[in-house]
Amino acid sequence: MENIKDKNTPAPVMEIEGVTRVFHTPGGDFTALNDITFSVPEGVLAILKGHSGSGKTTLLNIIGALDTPTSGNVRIKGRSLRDMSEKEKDNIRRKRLGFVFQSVSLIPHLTAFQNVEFSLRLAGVKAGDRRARVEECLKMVGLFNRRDHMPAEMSGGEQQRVAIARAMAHRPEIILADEPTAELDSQMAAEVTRILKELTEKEGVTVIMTTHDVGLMEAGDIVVEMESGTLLRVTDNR
Amino acid sequence: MLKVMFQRLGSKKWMTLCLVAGIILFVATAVSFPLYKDAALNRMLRDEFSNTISKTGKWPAYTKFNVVIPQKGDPQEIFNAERAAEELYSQMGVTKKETVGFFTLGPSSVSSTMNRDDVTDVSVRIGSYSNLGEHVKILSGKLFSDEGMNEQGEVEVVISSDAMVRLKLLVGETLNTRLKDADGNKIVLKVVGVFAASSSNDFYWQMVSKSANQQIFMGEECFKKLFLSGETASYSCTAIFSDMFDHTALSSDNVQQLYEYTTYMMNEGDYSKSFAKPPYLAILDSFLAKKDRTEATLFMLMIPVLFLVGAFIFMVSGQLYETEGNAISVMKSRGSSTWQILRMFLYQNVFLMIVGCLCGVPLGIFFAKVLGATKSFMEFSASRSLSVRFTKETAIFAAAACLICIIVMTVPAVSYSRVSIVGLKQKKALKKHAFWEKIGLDFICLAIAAYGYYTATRSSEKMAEDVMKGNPMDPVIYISSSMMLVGLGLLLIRLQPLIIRLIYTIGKNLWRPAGYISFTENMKRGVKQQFIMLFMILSVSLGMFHASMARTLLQNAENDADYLSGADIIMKEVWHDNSYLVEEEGQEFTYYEPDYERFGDVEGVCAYTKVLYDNATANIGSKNVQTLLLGVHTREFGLVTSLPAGLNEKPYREYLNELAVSERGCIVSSSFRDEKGFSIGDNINFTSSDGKKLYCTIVDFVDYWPGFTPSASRTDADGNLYFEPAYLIVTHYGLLYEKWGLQPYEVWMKLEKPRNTDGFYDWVNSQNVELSKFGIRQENLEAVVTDPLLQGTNGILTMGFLVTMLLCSVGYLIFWIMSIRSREMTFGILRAEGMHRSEIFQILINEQIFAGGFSVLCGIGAGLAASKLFVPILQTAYSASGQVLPMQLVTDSGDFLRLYAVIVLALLVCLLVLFGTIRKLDVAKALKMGEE
Repeated sequence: MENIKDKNTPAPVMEIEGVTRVFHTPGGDFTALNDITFSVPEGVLAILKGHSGSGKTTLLNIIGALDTPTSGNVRIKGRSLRDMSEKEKDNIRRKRLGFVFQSVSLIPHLTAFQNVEFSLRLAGVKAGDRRARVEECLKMVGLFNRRDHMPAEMSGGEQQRVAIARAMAHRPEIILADEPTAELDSQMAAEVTRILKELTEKEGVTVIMTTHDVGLMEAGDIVVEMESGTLLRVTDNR
Repeated sequence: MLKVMFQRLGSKKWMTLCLVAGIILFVATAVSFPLYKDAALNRMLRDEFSNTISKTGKWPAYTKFNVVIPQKGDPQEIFNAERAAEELYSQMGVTKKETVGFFTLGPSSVSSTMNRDDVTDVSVRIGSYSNLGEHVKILSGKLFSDEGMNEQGEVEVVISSDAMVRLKLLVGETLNTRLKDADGNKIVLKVVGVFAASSSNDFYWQMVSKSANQQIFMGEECFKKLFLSGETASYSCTAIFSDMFDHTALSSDNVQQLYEYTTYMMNEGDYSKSFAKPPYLAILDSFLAKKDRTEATLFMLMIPVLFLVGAFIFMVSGQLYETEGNAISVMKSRGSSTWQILRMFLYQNVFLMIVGCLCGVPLGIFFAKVLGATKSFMEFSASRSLSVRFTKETAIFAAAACLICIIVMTVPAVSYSRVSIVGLKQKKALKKHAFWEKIGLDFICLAIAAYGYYTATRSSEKMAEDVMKGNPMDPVIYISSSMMLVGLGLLLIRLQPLIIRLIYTIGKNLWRPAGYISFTENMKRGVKQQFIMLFMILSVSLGMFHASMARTLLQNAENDADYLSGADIIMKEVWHDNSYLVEEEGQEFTYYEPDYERFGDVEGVCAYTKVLYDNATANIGSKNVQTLLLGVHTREFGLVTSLPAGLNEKPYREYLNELAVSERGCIVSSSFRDEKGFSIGDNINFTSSDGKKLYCTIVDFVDYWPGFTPSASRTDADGNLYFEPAYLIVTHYGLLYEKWGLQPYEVWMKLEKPRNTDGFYDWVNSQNVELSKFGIRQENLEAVVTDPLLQGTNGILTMGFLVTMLLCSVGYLIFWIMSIRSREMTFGILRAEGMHRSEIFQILINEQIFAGGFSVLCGIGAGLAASKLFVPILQTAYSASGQVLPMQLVTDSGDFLRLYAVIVLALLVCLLVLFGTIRKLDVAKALKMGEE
């Protein structure tokens, strides 16, 4: 996992097989996702693109084992999420996935350092090994000097960068980022995207992020376009 | 406007319900105080009267005018007094039972016209009693007619059966007198009937003078016409008017009027010379002293409860405004003035208050009844219910409670209504030390408590003196104990983050993720959590403190009553004697002893013994001291009585054994040794109340003896309190019988089951036993429980505890639900990061332990510490000189178990609700990851 994979012979780290998600609402059933199938190879930056309501966030929740599809299945490294208990899913999230959310995704009462360290604690990393990794991750997002600040004392972009450091610290296989740039200005958005891109290169992690920002599209190795819950096309930019 | 208000309240229905519940409890608590106080004091008043009646066998509720006019005096004086007596009822504000008017002339000699050999002139008193006919049964002949005279102009009179024997008169006899009526005609009397009292329980006869067996009665109108109709009285005449009134109709509010008018009549009124000091004055005296003390003490006990409930209302309304913070800010930015927003909240609060008041008053009535059924702390019995009535005072309390509620609810609105959006955001970012921490309120409170403790322990005598005089307990003492609890509570809250940090640091690398989150969260939380923690510590510590206080007060009072009762039952029968034969026939005086063997038949009595009980005089040199003299049969007395261990140097039975082997020995109180210098082997001389003398040899000294009060408090001329030692001599009944002859004795009994006195009452009723004195231990113990001061104290303490515990749980729940709501997103992040649901629960449990568990433990500790220091002081203040036995701090594990059960229940309910909230937590929704 440490070494950089050959991009030309990618093995799918995540496979989505015929995922459909129907929400039961008082106004009738609503199909948010309709028979989505695609796979993401290891070590790429995949971008889920689409307008509001296109179902990209729902899809991301299903990939992150936060939501269960009505039908279809998701495999992570060949392991089927459908067959897992809730506790097993928790463990998948704990060790193999990292999350970055749209607005705030930090624990408000912990400092930047503690927030990053906490994901290591959750992943069961020994106390002695944690400090160096946290510092490494904070340096990578350029916030090492702000490690003892509370989330409330940092700007939105800084918070998102800490969130990325937190998401990557425990060396997950996939980082899921839901509109991480939505609340940032374009310069900061580009910076965050650059860090995510860099992660795939340096750490070999797969990043799946959603965005509606057309300007960021070109950064993606793979771009998945969605519309009204259906898959429009998958473009491989590599 | 109203619609908007209801919508707003409806959207926060749980918070609103909590607030209304707080108001209801506030009003109910405030109202229950005057309701209970009034009912309990009335009950106490009635009890004091009926106790006097059962002790003395006399009706104490009467006044007496005693008017004597000399020969040639003005008869109008008598009529004026009669009118004054009639008017007295309304002036004293009492309900009339009966006025007994008695007129009599001085002794005069009458001679029978029958010229019988055996009858010479006899000396009689001619008189009249009002309504005599209603209180007698005619044994022979008839009652005098309404006119009072027959056709021959003879005055019709009746005599008692005793007088018939004594004066040797017969029915139908005509008597010549030397008296003349107003017109100067000679008065001739005709005996038309002989009567006896229609019932021995008729209090009317208590008003009849002892010399009734020398009296000849005529009709009242007739007496007035014959002797009082002239300008001046032809003969010296005595008139007595007794106003008997109904004490059961008295209530604590007209006692003051009665008391004041009575003292006015005695000292300043027109009839002060002829107005005798009525026996009820002593009852009222002690009642009024107890009333003031009870009112003041109960009110002081009520204050902390009201304070806590008020704090709850303040807290909840603050929370309510906080949830509306955004709405307020928006209104502000749209140009609403502070006053407009404030007015909106004021209307809302008035509405909530009306709802709260409508439910609070009936609940207060219920509370008052519960108070009246309190036995001890958290223990109820429905043996004697209270009749609660709504008084003016209650209405005042209710109104005041409502006003306070409105103020408490509206004050936090002021600060919120000023906040604009910018201000709100700024405020949320602030997280500094609380105001109290900066000024060191905890240390100030503890300093006040220490000062209170110091002064109270130094001046305990003065305090006891105040209580003796009926003054209420010094508020400083009560405040000190509360101050100590508040101070300790705040100090512990100040220390709590440090303690948590210490534990965190010790196991820094050991904590699992859940523990880590809990620790770090708790160390950062600060001010907000402090209020609920203080609330919790105060509820629990007040509960602990009150539990031991209530138990100590009750137990000591019960021990005292138990000790002073002497035996399960003490009774003395009415003894008849031959005194009337001594005078007439020169017989030697003797008592007729009631059949002692009968006591063997009383059901439920397992042992009984004769006890000669006399207020004797010990002759020491030329000086005399009053002493209680007990003549006992040592073996039987030992079977009937007992004494708690540790009161005297040796076990109780040993003293009886020592006495048993010394034929002329006696056991005396240690006051004879300490005050008068006696030692074992000395002879002691004493004289009985009827003048018989004896000496005994001292075999031992005791401090305590069944039924003996070792010291009595007195006030000297300057009003200072001092304790006067009491004296006791216990010797053989047999010795006193041998030397002094048969004397009326008491019978002391032991019951198989001390609570079951039915057998005794059945026996008294079926055998028509006439009692001149009796006391039942069980009834004395019950009187302790229903004493308004003790019961009110226990009741208010219990109710206060339940109310604060209830509010504490609700407040705790609100705090945590709010806290979880505000952290839903954090929990969402934690779940997304892969934390298990069970770990989230673990975080919640940890938080409960850090905040709730810590508060409960601190509360228990602070409560116990305050009990150790202050309960003995408060106990002194309550019972003061009344305490006979050495005071003990009593704690009952049952009390604490009940208390812990309530706390555990409250915490469990809280946890369940919180678990439910977390279970429903939707991670995706919490993270706002759903469809936007």
